[in-house]
Amino acid sequence: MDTFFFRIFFGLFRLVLPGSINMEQVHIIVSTKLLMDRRRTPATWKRSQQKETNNGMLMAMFLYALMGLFVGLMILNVPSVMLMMIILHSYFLFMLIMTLITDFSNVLLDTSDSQIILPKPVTSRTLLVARTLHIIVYLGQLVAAIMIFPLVFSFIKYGVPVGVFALLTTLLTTAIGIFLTYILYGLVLRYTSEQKVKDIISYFQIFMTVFFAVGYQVIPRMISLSELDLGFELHWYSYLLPPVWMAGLLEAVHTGSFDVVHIGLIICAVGVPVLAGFIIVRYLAPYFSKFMSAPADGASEQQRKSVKHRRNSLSETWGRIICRSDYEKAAFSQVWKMTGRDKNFRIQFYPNLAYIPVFVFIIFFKNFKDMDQTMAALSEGNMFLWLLYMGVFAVLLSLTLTAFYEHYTAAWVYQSAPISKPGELINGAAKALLIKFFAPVFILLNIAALIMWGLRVIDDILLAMANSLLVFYINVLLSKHYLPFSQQPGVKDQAGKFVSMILRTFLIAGLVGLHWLAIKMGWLVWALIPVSLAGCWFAEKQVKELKWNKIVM
Amino acid sequence: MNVIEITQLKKQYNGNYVLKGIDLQAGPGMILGYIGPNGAGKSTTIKIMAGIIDEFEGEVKVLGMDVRQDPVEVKRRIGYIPELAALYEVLTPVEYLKFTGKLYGLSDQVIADKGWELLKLFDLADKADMRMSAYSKGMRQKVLLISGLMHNPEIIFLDEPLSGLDANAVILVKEILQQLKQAGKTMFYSSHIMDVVEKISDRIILIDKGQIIADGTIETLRASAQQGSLEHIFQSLTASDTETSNTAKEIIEVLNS
Repeated sequence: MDTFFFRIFFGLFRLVLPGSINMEQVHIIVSTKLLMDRRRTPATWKRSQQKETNNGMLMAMFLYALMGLFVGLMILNVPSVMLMMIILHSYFLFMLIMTLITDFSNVLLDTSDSQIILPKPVTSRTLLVARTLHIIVYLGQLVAAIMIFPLVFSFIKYGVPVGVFALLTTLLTTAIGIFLTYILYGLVLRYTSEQKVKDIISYFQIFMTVFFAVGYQVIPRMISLSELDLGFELHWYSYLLPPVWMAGLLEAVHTGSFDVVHIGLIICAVGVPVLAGFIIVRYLAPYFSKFMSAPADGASEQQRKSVKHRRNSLSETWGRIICRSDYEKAAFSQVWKMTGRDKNFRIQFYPNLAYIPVFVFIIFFKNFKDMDQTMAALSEGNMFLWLLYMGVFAVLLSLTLTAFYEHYTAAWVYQSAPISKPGELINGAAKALLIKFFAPVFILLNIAALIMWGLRVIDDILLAMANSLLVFYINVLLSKHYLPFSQQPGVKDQAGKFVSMILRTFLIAGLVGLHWLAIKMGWLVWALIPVSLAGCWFAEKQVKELKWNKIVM
Repeated sequence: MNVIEITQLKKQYNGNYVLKGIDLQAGPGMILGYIGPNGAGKSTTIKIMAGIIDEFEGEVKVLGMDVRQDPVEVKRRIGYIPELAALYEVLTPVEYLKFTGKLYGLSDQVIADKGWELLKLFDLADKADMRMSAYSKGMRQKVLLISGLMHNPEIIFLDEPLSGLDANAVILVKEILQQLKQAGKTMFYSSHIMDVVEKISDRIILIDKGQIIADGTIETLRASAQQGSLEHIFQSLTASDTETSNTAKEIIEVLNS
């Protein structure tokens, strides 16, 4: 698809541009960049751990198109043009900005251009043309992927005139999206460092992945919801929003009503994007290329703190409370800090955490209908067991992830340092995961359970906590013993993973089943708590005493 | 005729002068060693001569052209091999060389032939279709050398070109530099590895805190400092001799405490 857009726009550029631009250089720069785009793994696809992608770009486009299909199907169902077009353009604007921020940052904030291309005999005007062409080709693909189905459905439902104008509003919204992205980047770059920007981008990437995960669950359910005739009213402030202008334009075309309100909306819909485009070309783009071609101004001022008088961090405070040996403390604060800082860990872990609310939602509310009834039925039954055991799923995932790290060779320190009890390192890591990832989720879900079911579930909460710890520790014992951050991602053989997963599932199911049976006899829950705790104590002791020959390096 | 002519070159970053008036002339067919401690301004000087940085004070002429007026023509006729350079590592070396070669205006045929031959000679032929993300530091450095030399430049600026190379490759590169000198090309060689600089350079320029503090052959430098190796000359000129041994002493004290 990119070669198609590339050919069209390259031909166009060649016709329009003056001879001083070296079009041969433009061609090689853009085609090389497109080749690299194809090999880059898009942020939304990063979790699948694949090292070399041959066409990650196409995969992402497919994903966007699929999402677009869902939204397109809504067009057939929603009766009001205005409402539907507001939804469609909001969706488009949102998708565009999010993608631009997460994936396109590579292009917009690319400093490698100044290092690799600038030393070559390329004029800055030629480079500017090449960058612009690259951006246009990229945007062309993206917009096509997001909007292809909604546009097709617009043609089908509202006929050719509205379809053609929807094409126009798509382009206008694109201009606004680019403008907003530029402004956002400009603000961030103005007030923070480049490193900060990368951090912020990685949070956007997490958000994006979560959005996709949730979106695929929720949007199909909304299609049936939208059969209901939703009455809606526009407040005065909604006239400030670009999607409303676009929808207004389309409604005017559809109904033929050109009153004052509609004409006002049309003026905004056309005028603001044109103005935005002018500002981008005139001010923002030159500002960015100047900013990016400037040599990195060395390390920014670092705050100097004496090592001795440094404030104790959270991880060290916790480590001192719950870890006894030095090995445990070391592993505890290492895992605590690195899980917060390693981008790959964050991108893989947090989206999975976000599945928890999705699961809760799906289990408790099969769909949006009869919500009141479902709520009433809930407080009767024993559904709270789901909530109580949800936390252990979160932490089990983090356990498998902490073994892997991009710069895994750094793990040589484990082998060169005089470590006599490697099991304590694993125990320290396990404790860090429990405090950092299990405790908050567990506490949150249990507060929810207490609110819904009242104090009668207090014994269940205690048993669930003991059981969760037991499940976690048994998992630590059963899985391969990797030291934290010592393995190359995506290389280790996945054999045996399935079996152990089945085993784990049975284990959790067994304990939950036991718990469920115990509820029938009230006193048994209390009786099981010490049994489960004893199991934890025993398992923890086993972990601590793991020898070097059990550790996989 | 001088191929490099620098007069009163000054460069500031946010009011801090990193180059405080450099004067330098060099003729064709020689190897210039450019040495100095970290942060002395070596890379900045090279970037200015290569037409990459265009905001500076003073006059810089390369091959008779003002680098501010004709940066593109200067770039076309020089080779620039930066230190720890970035390259597009998702590409294979063949693809990367095609990319850079075309930026220098070489034809597809020339790039394919020359690139392949050079890759073979640098012992990378069997890995030519691997993406460079899997390459070691030395292998990447070889690709950078090829991409900086393929258009047969008249002046070559090298910033730590030997970093990461194995012993055989180091010998090979040193030999290549000597041969290029015979062919009348000028090499501007910046490095920390003093014994290499000492052996291959016809002329050595010492720079410290943005100023040239010594300039001449290894023999004249030796005579002025009355000491043996370049390392010692360097220390005595930058007056870091006693300072360094004091620091060493303090480090030992902390270790023992």
